[in-house]
Amino acid sequence: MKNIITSAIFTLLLVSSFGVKAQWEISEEVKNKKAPNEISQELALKGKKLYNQACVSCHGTPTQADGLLPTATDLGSDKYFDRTEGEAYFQITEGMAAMPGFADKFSDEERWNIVHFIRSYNPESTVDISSIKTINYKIDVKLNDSDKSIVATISADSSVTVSGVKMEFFVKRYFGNLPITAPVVTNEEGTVTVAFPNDIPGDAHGDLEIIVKFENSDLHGTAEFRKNVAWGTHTEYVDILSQRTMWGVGSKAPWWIIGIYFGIVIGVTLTILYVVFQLFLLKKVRNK
Amino acid sequence: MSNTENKSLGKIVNDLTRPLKNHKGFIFWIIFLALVIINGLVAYYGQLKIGLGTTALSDYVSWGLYISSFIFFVATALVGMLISSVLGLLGIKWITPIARIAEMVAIGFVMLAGIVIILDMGRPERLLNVFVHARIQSPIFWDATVVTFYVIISLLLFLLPLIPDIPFLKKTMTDQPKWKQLIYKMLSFGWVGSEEQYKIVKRSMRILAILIIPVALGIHTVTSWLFAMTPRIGWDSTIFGPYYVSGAFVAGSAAVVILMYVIRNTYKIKDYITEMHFDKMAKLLVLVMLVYVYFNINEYIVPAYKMKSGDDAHIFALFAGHFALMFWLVQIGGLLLPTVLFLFKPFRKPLPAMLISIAVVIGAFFKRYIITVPTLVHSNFPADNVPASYTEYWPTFSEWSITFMAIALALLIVTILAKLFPIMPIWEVAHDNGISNHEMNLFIENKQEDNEEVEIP
Repeated sequence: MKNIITSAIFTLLLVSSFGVKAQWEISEEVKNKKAPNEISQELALKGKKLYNQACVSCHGTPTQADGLLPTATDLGSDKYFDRTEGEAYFQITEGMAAMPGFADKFSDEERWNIVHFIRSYNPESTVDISSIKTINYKIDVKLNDSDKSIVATISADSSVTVSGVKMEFFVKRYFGNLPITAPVVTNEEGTVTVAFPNDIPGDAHGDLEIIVKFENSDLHGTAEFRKNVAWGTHTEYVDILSQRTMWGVGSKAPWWIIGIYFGIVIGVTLTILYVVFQLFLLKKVRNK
Repeated sequence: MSNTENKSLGKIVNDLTRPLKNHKGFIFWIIFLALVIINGLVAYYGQLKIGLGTTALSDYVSWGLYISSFIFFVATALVGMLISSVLGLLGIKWITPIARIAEMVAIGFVMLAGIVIILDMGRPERLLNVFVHARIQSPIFWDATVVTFYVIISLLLFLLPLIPDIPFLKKTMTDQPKWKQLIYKMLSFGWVGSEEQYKIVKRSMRILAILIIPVALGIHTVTSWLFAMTPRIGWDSTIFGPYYVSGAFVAGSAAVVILMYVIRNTYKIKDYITEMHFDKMAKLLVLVMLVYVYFNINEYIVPAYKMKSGDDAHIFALFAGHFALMFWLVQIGGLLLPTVLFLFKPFRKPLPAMLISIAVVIGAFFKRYIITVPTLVHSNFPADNVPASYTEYWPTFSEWSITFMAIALALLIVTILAKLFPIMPIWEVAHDNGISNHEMNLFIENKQEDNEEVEIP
């Protein structure tokens, strides 16, 4: 009994020592590490996307202190900004105690973008994305059937620039959207022209859906253009399950194998029946 | 032949029907078989109640001892085709006294092959689903068909040469129980030994002898396709059909040699199954074993030379790994050594030939195990964290009991056939001894008159 108590206490100590070990141990080198790119609105917004994927569930929105896990720090609180960007990067990469490391999930660049996003809440930060107001851009698209070109023109409700905005062009596929070009930047009139490829498969009539939208919806809003157009190649969908195949169900067996099988079965059966018939003939010919 | 003198018909009939009446020691053999069968039935009751959990079969090794024995049974059964059909059609005379033995082995073993498949089912009451949801594209479907045909044709090939013997049995077995005489009466088909009747029997035998060749090749080729039609390592082979067929002739011929020896000694018919027959059978075994050795070389050397990834682990497990001991015992003790020994005349004498054949049959049984199990031990797909129990297989006591029951049942069928009917066709032996059909008919009629004389007072 004494042994059990002793070992129970020992186990408890051992378990709690893990908690103690969960202190950050960060070297000076790590602390002084600098991001490869200067913080910018674009990078911080990219980081925001990733933050919303992986971090927000525990940490909550920075400054709101609405994370689900009470032990997870509110990354917008004053107490957090004592950390250097090197430390933040290290923590995201390696993880700590309950927090997993993200070295495998996000690339180096992506982890730095998350750091940029968090640090944009720092009062001393040069970038403040919380003040960004999404401008309501509009997308007008003209589809020219003659040369299969897409002309997208953007306009805005206030006097902001419409040039230099990155636009993306997709064709809707079964699982997700297929980009038909790399993102293209609008010219001074806010216009961009893209040639539609000739070899994109459409349905039986060549129909497919074209999608035009902004590359960065955080900056430019969620406006998008969608339209069905018969610009694709014609695809005949063949239901292979309805065909007679070797791998199909029994009722879909190929005719040739059915023919061979029953040919053999009937041939052998008739031969056997003939011999059995001969057996009963024996009695008839007994006097010959 | 040790006895070159022609025997009289009376002696032949007497010699061949005597063992059917004399049951000295027979009861012990039946008790032995019954015990093995009862032990198997108890194990099978457990398997029915609990399911295949009583076996060592699991997620990976789902074909084990039962399927190995299935191939073994089918293989052994093929000897009926080899001896009574192939050698018979070639006009080889010395097979007369052993053709019926081969046919008995064929019937007993092919029947059990079908039953072993049912024994391997965890839910045998769902057997009908196999046919309700049959896929004609699957080798299993063809296998079931062709096994059925082989049973029917083997039974007919057993029955046809038996018909001319029935009058001899009717006359000599009058002191036997009524049910036996009823069987003989049913199987006589009005045989009186007329020329026309002989013509019909011989022609029918010839038709079936030809028909059984493609059916027998089909049965074992399709059995091999159950394996070879999958892309799995160790089974994915283009020579599996002929590999199985040649291996079948080895197993079957050796089984016939053992039976020849046992029957020759218990039935005291050493003048009929002579040393010459053992000599010839041993030589036949050398031929079929050399063919089988040749296929083995192809089957193992070709992948071993290339060592494709996947094949390497399999080949290693066989040559030097987990299965090495069994593999080399089977290949050397059950195949290479017997082949070499049979090249020397002293080993083709009855006793050594029988002992070597026992090694060949045991080797043949475990050869099927070596074909079935090692492939299944490896996962079909890349897998992580596989429980160690999945990759280990050794049959449980229950599996062995049920397998031995199947073997005992096959031997029981052979025993019953060998005790009901002459071990070799009396009429063909008579022909070989220069006795004409007419003489046989006269003999039967005389006997009948004798019997009538006895009955009148």
